[in-house]
Amino acid sequence: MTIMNSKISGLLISWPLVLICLAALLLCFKPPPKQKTAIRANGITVTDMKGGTITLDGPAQSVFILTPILWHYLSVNLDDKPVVKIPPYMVREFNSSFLGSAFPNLKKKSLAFTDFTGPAPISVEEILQSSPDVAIVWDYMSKGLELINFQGLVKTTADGGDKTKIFNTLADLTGRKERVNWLWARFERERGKVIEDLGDCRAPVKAVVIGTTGLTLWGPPSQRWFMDNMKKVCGQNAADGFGSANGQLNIENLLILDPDVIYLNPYILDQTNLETKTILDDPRLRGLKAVRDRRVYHMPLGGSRLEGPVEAALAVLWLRLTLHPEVPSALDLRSAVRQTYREVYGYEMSEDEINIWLRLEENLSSAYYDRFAGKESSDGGI
Amino acid sequence: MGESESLEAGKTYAKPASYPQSSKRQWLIPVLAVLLMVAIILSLLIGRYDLSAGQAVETLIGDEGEVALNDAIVIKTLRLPRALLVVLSGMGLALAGAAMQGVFRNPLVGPEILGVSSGASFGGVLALSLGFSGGAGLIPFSFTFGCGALVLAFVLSKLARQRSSLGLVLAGVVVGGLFGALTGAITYLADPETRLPGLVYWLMGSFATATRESVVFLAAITLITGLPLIGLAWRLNILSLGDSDAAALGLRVELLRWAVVVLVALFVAAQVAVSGGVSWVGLVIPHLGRMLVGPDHARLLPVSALLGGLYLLAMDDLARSLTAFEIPIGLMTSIIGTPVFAFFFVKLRGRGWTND
Repeated sequence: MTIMNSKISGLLISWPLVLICLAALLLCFKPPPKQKTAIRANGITVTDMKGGTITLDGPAQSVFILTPILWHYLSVNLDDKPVVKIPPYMVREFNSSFLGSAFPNLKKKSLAFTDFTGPAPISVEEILQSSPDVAIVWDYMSKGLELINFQGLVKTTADGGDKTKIFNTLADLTGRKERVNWLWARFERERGKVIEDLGDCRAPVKAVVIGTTGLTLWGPPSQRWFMDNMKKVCGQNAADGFGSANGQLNIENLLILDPDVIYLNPYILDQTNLETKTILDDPRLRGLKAVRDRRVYHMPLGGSRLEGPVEAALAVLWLRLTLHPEVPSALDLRSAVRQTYREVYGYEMSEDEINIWLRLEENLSSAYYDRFAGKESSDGGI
Repeated sequence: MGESESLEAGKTYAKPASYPQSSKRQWLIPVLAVLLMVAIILSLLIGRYDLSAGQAVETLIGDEGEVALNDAIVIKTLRLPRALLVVLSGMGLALAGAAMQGVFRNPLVGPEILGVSSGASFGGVLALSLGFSGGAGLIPFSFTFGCGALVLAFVLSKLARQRSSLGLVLAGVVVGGLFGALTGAITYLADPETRLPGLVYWLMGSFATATRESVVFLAAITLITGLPLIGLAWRLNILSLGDSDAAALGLRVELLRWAVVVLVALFVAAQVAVSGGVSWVGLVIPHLGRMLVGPDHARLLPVSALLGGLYLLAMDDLARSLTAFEIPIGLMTSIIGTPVFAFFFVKLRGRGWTND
């Protein structure tokens, strides 16, 4: 009897659990509201990198950017007004590069949507709060927006170096197809000049790009844009065939690869300690040819991480000059940097800004880099 | 006098003097239930999207055409399913944890101990790496592998001819280790640009993509597993006397143990499938429940469930409101859960936690 009582009381006492479950089942019976698909007779169609399409009344007037493409957007649109919010890491890069000076109004705006760093998934409510025409997000972050059928969802994904898709999307968003075509034509022309300047490739120079302080290497398929450009100027990624790009490099393996040149990831900002001297002063690495020859270079950050049609051409020239310093060149990197930003953004870079672009101060301890030192800067230093 | 009370007269049962008399806290379950309802309503008012209490209520009860679309989306599409999913997860995890601690007579046991969470996590990661990002692909994968992990643990413990709870725990640890390693391998090999971030965020747990389908799924599983678990409470009380005494009293110990384990595994697999890993709830909350109502499972199980719902709801409210980013819920429960567990560890020193 007591057991039976206990059973009954046990079941009776579980009423809150039953209530919550039944409430959940009942409340979810009715379909939740979602954004309605707008039908626009004269709208423009935007195709994203995943092949999805959205329609807008005209060029996007407010854009919430969650992927590192602010610089590409600016190079196409030139008008910074539509930019509503960007991630904090992009704010840091924007403010520390010449773009912050080229777009002073944007620098004044409170752009970061949070004080926290990192590319973590953003709250959908945060995006709705800004009511943007368009939210450009990583594919893996898009689930929340898909859930509410957000009408301005533009998904991006890793492009493996092929920037044409994202630039096509930006052309749609801004209504500036001709501008995008001009940027790509300019890129082809400038890169062609560099390849011609180098001449025939006899023996490719072996190089590696170290991505982090943990000695992670850039390898295929990671950063293919960079590796493809390296091949164009007679360079070879020594880590080709090394395995997963996500893997950490064992020091012994680095000794086996024994590259002629070591490059350091350009995205590294001041939160890490990976600098040229980290590699040059590491006693474990002193046997490497690149270290013995002091051919360790921190790649320029530039305005757009050296990606895209504006800066990739400069990256090719920088690679050509650091991979083959012994081959005479008719091209001047400082002039090319100045000319590029003048043509594309209408911005006149100062000598100081070019020095920063080149990471001159850090790279001067490496071999051959003094060839990039120009005139004395306005404050008398480099 | 109920059976659990009659057992207290036995010489092997020494009820800790410092535990509260459960009969004096009959009011606790209704009070916690009301608190949970209030917390759910309050959760609808909290978030990054600015919405006054009046607007929220109007949106909740008003017709779709009469309120702003974005307001309706925030309340009905985002916050309500999410709050329900969180509460169901919290209730189920705490209930599962309390039952597991009872059946294994060990305060360090949580629902994760069987390796089911690891199996379900592996299933989810596998689904994501194969390109199944939606619930239709992810939930079946995760649930199936979670249940598969339990089968594997069962087979392993049978092969080892282990009939004791220790054998089952060891089998669970082995299976959990295996699936943990496999999950690690997939994560390690994942493309760092296209797959890795999605895998990492899913593994850390989030209710951000709660849908009515996932709520219905978890509500059904919670009912199917939760009610039988609560119904087994008096048997768990007998089991706390020890295997041999319980068997002498006519309890089929091994059958009971497997019944609890299967019910817990079903729930855990479902929970991981809908939201990724949420740690510490099943371990910490039963301790809090035990402090409030003592070790009688007839009260401990429902109280733990309600506390679990409240706790996880509070954690998720913080996770989605503190910053513009979604803080992974697994991170929140771990950061808050470990000091809370440490507190209980100190607070409960010297007390028996079971009826031993």
